[in-house]
Amino acid sequence: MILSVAGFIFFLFSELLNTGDLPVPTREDMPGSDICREEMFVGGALWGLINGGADLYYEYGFDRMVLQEIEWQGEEFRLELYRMESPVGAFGVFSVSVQGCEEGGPVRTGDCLNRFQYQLYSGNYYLSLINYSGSDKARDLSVEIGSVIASAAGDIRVELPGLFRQDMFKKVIDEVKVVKGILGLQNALPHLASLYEGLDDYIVWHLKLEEKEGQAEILLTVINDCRDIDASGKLALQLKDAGFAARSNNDRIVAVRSATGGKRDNDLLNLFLAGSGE
Amino acid sequence: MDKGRRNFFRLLAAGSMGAGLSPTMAAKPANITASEPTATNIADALKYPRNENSMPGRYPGRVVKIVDENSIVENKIKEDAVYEMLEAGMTNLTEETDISLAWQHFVSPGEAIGLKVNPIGGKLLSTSHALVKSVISQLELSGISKEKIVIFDRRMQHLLDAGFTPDNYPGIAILGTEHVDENGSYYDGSGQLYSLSRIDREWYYWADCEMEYDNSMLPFMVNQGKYSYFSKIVTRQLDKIINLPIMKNAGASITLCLKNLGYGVITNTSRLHSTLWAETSAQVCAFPPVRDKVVLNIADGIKGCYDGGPGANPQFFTNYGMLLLGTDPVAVDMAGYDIIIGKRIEMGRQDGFADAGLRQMLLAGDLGLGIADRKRIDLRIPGSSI
Repeated sequence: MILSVAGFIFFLFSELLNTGDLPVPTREDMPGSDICREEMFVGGALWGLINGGADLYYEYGFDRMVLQEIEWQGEEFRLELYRMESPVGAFGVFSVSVQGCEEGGPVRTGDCLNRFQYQLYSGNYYLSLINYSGSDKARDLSVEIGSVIASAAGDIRVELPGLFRQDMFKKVIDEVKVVKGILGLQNALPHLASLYEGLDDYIVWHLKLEEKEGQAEILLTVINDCRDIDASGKLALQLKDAGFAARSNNDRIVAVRSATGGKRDNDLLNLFLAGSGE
Repeated sequence: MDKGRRNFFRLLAAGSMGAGLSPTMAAKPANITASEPTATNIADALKYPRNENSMPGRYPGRVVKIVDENSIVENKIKEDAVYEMLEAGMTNLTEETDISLAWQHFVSPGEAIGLKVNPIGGKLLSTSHALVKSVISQLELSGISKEKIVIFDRRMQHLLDAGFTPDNYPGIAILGTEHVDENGSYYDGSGQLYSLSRIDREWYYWADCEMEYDNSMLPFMVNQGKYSYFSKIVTRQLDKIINLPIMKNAGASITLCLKNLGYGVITNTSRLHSTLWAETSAQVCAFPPVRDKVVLNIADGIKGCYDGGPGANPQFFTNYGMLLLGTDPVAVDMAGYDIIIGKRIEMGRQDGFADAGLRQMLLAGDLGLGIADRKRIDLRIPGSSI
């Protein structure tokens, strides 16, 4: 009886450890630190933490998140490590959450550091590490903590569609944004939001380009909404009405809009499609 | 084992992570099911006669904007500066020279006064303590005793996390509809959610959409189904409410006066986000416990954000260095919208003003809760020639 109870406790404990098997730092990684709070949020519990702010994560496919509040060398940090259901979800959250990143990435290419926050993604993970002071010391410590997670989580990049893997986009590849629903659109691409009304299940890959004449944008939409077999054709028409050059093929629509418009858009569309496999 | 680890396992046992033990508990929220167009019981709200306190209150369309760039220095909000800003705003709004007389336009000794804060952003970005403490000081000057003042929001844990604690506010009641006890539990000894005794089933917002919540989500929604019940804090405990939202974006719209009330005083809100986001912000404010009790709105823009809202993402924080005051929540929101969305455009987060972001204000205007027409808004900026 005692053994079976012990066995059950061990089983339970193992389950808990497995559930908590996210690559978060420990005190050993941050000598002298205090992890004042450590909590995991699963399923709908994220709503309890950030209310409506959670909706964006659910839209991208939220699995779980560990929250840590850390005090280290007189600095305070709030660490949120999200595990999403897919690498696209993790990359998507990252892509719409970063701005004003220092060039180059302090830990590795593709992460983002600014005065108050360090962010990275790898595989299914998205990390937000906030410091409260914005000091140089907090920045340096953020990089140290970020390095621990980057090392544990690996460097697993999302596989971009062929359209964006072309050499011509190499320098701006980190600017690609991924949106999986209306909240992502409203946050990152509000000028496009009305075009996607009525669609339920889609992914938009979006890239802004700086040209001599002004900004151009290119987007690839993949529609998984099976309620409407001609959804891609309708969206292509709507995009054209909004001034894009657009082409649809089954469930995929590629669209381009430049500052010049007209023939230039069609030329760009043909150029981008030529080597893309779309 | 360090303190953090001990907390971790205590919390596991308490339930939030315990959700991971059960696949059903860990399930994400089910999809919304809704008919088109989504019906609500807004017509019921409009049957109640208005009174002298009903929105838009004493000064329809009037918004006072007080700016002090030195109200926040090196990320520290200056309470003395905020106090003066509030005083300037109140006297300008009411056209009184005496601050206690200014407050007496809205509150009277003996009334129970609620301060509806927004603590969702925790220590990072919640209604500032500098503003809340200034409001309390000036209420006391006008004859309101501390014992009659309540700081409230829907979720107790958010209040505590943001520093709205008895230690910081001695003598002031701090209340959350979604109550959590000292052990971190949302359930009482009999297994009932504390919040169930804190909602008023006589007042509800009904909408023809629903959502299934898992066990990890239910403590924060209180109930499922098509009914969202009003908090008793609003319906029974308070005589007047001062609305203290914070200047944040919500995508290409804003979360300010209307949203702070609409989603801050009812249960079962998650179902409303997808299909009735703007409607809820406007329509809940049309029910008498809100419409007839919220006498003043003071939007805290000392520090706010232009993206990442309604969450708190520091790279998008900005020091607006301002307060917006008015009795008319729609007009204050319109003024705030122009500032917040203007900042988004300036920072390259959106290309231009999108009409969809105005929907909650336009709906509220149609419900008679305030002025949404910019031409009819009297924006006052003391010290400015504009």
